[in-house]
Amino acid sequence: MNILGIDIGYSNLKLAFSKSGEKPKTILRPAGAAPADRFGNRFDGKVQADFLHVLVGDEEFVAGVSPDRAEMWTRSLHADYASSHSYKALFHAGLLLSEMDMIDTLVTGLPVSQYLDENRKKVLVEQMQGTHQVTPKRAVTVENVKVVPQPIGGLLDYIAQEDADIEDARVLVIDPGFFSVDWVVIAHKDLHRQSSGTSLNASSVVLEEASRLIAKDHGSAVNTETLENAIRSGKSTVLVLGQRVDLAPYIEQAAQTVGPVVLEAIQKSLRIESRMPDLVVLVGGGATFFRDAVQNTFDKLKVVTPKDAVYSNARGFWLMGNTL
Amino acid sequence: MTGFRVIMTVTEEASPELYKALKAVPSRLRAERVRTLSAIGLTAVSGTGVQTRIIASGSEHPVQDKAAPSGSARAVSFARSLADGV
Repeated sequence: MNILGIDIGYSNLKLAFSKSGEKPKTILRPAGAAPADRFGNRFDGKVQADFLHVLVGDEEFVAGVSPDRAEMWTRSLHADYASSHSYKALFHAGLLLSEMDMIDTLVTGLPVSQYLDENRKKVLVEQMQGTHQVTPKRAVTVENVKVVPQPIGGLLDYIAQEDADIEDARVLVIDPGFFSVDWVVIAHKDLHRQSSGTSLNASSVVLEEASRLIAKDHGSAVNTETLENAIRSGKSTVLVLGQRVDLAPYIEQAAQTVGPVVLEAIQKSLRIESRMPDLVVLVGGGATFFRDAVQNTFDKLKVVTPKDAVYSNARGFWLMGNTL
Repeated sequence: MTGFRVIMTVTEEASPELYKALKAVPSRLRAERVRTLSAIGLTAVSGTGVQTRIIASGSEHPVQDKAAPSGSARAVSFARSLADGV
């Protein structure tokens, strides 16, 4: 049985896939996708090696590249992301990268607030199920689709990595992504819907704030994509008007501003819980931005983060796929 | 039939649980008891999760493999219990 866990984020596309019983392979690509004619050509006329060419309907898209590579194309940074062409292109890129022609079970996630909307969930299942013409010569069939709240993937990944016994624990899972920060409360294996939620003060807001702070000190702002690319590739500096500027102090300061706002929303939603969580699991690509704020807020609790947290959800979705 | 002979000494200091378990068994039945306990141990080590029926002390007891599942197995088991709820 072929299983694919796919996490189509606003910043990165993450995949975990294998046949059941085998160790999953993971892939991470930037989540930029736009029609092929919006990308520049190489001076030597050769094909860009890092481009993934996929079809969305009849139109050729390039996917899996940095979001600022396309010209005359606005990045989808809104709640309707799943119905955008970019999302569909990234989905097709994910199917292509899985190297499978037939996927028996595909598991993906939605932000918590969208997951709670039954109609939105149904639409996404219908969108992903069936046969997809991903390139002119390649079709991939997806048999079964399951949609789960985004942070559930991270929780399963944590359990797998640490062999954690949390059956009788009350666990708060916080998943800071690029567009939204999602959280869920799981107690005695039940998802507490009323205490789970979404905040839009996410990583993109941290980067915007960092950009504003850089502009204040250095006379010119850096766009969020430049900051995002630097972080993705592990660079510690960015160029501002020809001068190298250290990123860390600005990211830290921005996180100190944005983090508490998100944590206040989380605390508010936990008010209806009869008791405090026993454990906080912090997952997702933006985990490092929010770690201090989470630990300061839940100072008496253990805050844990799985290794390679950016892959957490995809790996957890793959684990969920093994149950179906 | 192939087999080999094992001569072992069980001391209270080194193996207090095993010593206690074997002390209560008549000496001529101790070897069989050691074989039975070893079979239970091997089931646990193999982590198969298979329910093994062992005849012990004259009555039949189902012995569940108590070995902790590996991380992935535990996560899949947890996911399975969540699946209907999510």
